[in-house]
Amino acid sequence: MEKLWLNLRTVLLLSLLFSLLYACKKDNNDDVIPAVTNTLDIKLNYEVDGQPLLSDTLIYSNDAGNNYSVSRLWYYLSRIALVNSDSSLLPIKDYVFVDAFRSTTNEFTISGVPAGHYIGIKFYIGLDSVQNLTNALPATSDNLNMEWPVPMGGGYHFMKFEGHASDSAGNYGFAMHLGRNEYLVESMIWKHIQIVSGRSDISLMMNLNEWFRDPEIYDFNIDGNYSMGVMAAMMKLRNNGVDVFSVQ
Amino acid sequence: MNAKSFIKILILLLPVLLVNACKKESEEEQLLANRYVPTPLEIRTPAGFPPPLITDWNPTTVEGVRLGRMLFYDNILSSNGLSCSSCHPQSEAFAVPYHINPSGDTVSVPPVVNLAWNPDFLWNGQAQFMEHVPLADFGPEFFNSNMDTVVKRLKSHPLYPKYFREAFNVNDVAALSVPELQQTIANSLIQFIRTIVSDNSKFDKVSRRETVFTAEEMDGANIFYTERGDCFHCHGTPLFTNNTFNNTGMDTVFTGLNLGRYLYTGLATDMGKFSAPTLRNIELTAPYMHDGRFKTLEEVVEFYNSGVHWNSPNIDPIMTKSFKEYGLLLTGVEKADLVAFLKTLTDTSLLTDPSVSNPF
Repeated sequence: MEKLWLNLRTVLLLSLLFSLLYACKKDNNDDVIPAVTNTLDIKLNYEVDGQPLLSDTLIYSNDAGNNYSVSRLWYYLSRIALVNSDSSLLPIKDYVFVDAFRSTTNEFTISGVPAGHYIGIKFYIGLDSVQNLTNALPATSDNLNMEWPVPMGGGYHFMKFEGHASDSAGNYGFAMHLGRNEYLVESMIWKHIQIVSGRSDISLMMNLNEWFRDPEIYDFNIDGNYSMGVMAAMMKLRNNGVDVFSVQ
Repeated sequence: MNAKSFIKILILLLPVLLVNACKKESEEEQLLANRYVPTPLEIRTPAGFPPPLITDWNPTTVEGVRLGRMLFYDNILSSNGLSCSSCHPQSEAFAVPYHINPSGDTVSVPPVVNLAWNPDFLWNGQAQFMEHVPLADFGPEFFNSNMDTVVKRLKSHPLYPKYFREAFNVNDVAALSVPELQQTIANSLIQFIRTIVSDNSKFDKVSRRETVFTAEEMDGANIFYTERGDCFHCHGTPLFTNNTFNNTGMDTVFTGLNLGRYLYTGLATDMGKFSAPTLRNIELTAPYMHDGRFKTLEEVVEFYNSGVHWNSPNIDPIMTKSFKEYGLLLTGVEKADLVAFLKTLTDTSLLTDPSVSNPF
């Protein structure tokens, strides 16, 4: 009986000790194993015919011979979709606002993209007619600063690409602003893209000089250094903008 | 000891052991329990405004705003009788016309209205936290504060000790260092200033379909919101500022304060750039531009109509449209209509809004 009691006492003491040890233990969810979700990182990069993009630096030249710098590059990417092998689309992102000089806007992560093989990526530079309505987007500072005034048709700027230029015409500023549904830029890039289990990434490169060529040369001195409300200028930009991006 | 006795002792000891095991956390909880927990306050955000920008280390609270509001209107902080409201009186839309700095420069006083939505502060954006702006007020240029006197006044005041404790858990302002006290005061002032919201102008009422523009105001709105005047790029709805820094071509050579944002960043490309101010209540906050060079709205409109220096270094690209080399070419009627529209941004209810008025 005495031996039994000693064993019982030992068990009780040990139980008490463990109970006390755990009595005040903070909740800890570290042990919870999260479900595996595929994530896709999309990175946006910039160049001007091989030169890296620097702000306010007059070192670039387009096909028309306009030397220029870039002080602002704001735009939307929207309806981003991967292209399945049967050419159907897998929508992965509704829209993003991008400021080329604000790094946090040039990288975003999409969760839940099914692993597999895709043959391309499609997106708009701008917003489609469903989103391109005044106040359709949340009232963030970025969205408000992109508004296209109601008297000019409403909705949002698709892009603000601004800087300074210098050429035989002298020194002047330029502002390539794009907006209105009819000037939405649709970009389709055919490229084999493999999404693996876990983490994948896609890097998109915008070559800013592509806005000024192919199919049409855009010359600040002929087409104007300001495009907003100038239909012919916006049409050129729209047509040229189709291939400003490539997948790296 | 037999089994029965041991179990009895164990049962008696168990509560003591459990209490001791949690003692450390209980002490911490006790300390926390003795602290005053101020009541979070959400800044009133009018429909269509973006989310307010609140400094994460100075969240807005009912008690902080109460303290800040009293200090804003009280000359207790200064040695010369001035208070914040001396330069930012409610009756003048929270801005006197101008301030002459020690170098003799005239500086247009920015109104402290809708600042909860500003990411940068002062004309050249040198203050990234609004809480840093009032710190300069203790200096000789403004309050010329004697901090020993300030401490004595605050300590002997019937309300301030309680208000400091309830807003910031400061039981004794004398226990704070001078920088700590000044920052605590600044934090409360900014909490109050963030509650000064203007959204009840005629423009807002038209937006809410409560009234309509006159024909002149409507014409002015069309000039404002189209390429005719192209005001909207820097002064867009609803804040009437895009919170960017721009050189609008006022000068071709920059010296002194006119160097603008360059004085903060040191970048040559920032010379002549200034924060785009809100146009809300612009009718009430003459003179205009950072240095108050224009006395009337008509002068401002005429500058944009015909006075922009195209050859100004770093001039904003928006200002140099190739089809407007000779200015906007607005007619006399159009200029008057544009001014009429600008006056619809006047919010007279702000001038008497009891929620931000003098509590004394």
